[in-house]
Amino acid sequence: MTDKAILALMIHPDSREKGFRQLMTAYQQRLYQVIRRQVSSHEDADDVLQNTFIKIFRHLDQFEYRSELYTWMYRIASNEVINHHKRLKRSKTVELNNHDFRFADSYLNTDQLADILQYIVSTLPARQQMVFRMRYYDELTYKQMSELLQLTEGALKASFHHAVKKIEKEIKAKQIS
Amino acid sequence: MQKEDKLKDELKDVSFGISAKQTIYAPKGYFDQLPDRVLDRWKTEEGKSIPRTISIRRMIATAAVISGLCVGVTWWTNQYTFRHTNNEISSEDAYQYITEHIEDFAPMILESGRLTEEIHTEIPQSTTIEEYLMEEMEGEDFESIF
Repeated sequence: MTDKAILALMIHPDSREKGFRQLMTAYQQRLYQVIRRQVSSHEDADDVLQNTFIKIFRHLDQFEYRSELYTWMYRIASNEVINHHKRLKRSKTVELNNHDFRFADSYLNTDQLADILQYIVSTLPARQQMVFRMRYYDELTYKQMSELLQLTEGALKASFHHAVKKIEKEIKAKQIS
Repeated sequence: MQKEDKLKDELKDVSFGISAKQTIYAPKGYFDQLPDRVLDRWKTEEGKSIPRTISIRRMIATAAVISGLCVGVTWWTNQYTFRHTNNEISSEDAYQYITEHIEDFAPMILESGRLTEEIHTEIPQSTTIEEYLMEEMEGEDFESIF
């Protein structure tokens, strides 16, 4: 089913539920992958994905057909990931700040490392955070990002550069010297 | 683009080799259940935003508030009307007002003086008045009137 047909179903109250189902069936796996790569557990990804779909349903009337439907949904998912990390940051700040990261490599598994990276990314300013996530996790091109965020490619490159440098600095500071 | 790749490589070097593009699979059956779960949640959340049936207690409270407002508005309107329809002024106040705003009355005074002059006539002599009255009485005795 095309995006246009799905949207047509969702606009009419009688067929709205059917439209929502079609939309979720069509995009749930792609959006799940986008979100799951940026959160540390399936439960978190499930929570963020549900929030994303609820927001999509609620704000469907604000979709202006200026971009692809997936692009619009991707932007909502990205915002939800950032919100999720903001919430986590509040609860994890103390835990991670008090944690001694200077262990031998064998003590850290991939999930823990991913958590550390996520934590550091979540401390970046909102724009740098979003640009970094799109470029590093989702490997979007600057052109795609430019369409998504309505920013110039030059500005996006600068944001990504600053983000990477800050992350490097933080990670180096926490590694064994 | 080379600069970009260099940046990403640098980051991978320092970030313990975390794989950003690892494909992570959802638990089996997750996507079969997700639409139902999301729709249930959406219906619940949307339902909360729609006002439920109004309880009798709330209706009474609303009626009381509306009645109070009506009484208040009526009382205020009456007070306002009373004040504006019973605005009698004492002679002292009127005199003081006129004294203080005498210049406002100057044109009226001038106008009044001109009219007085215009209607001023000579006072007739007393004999003329007697003659006039005699004519009016047509010979009747004056004293019979009293």
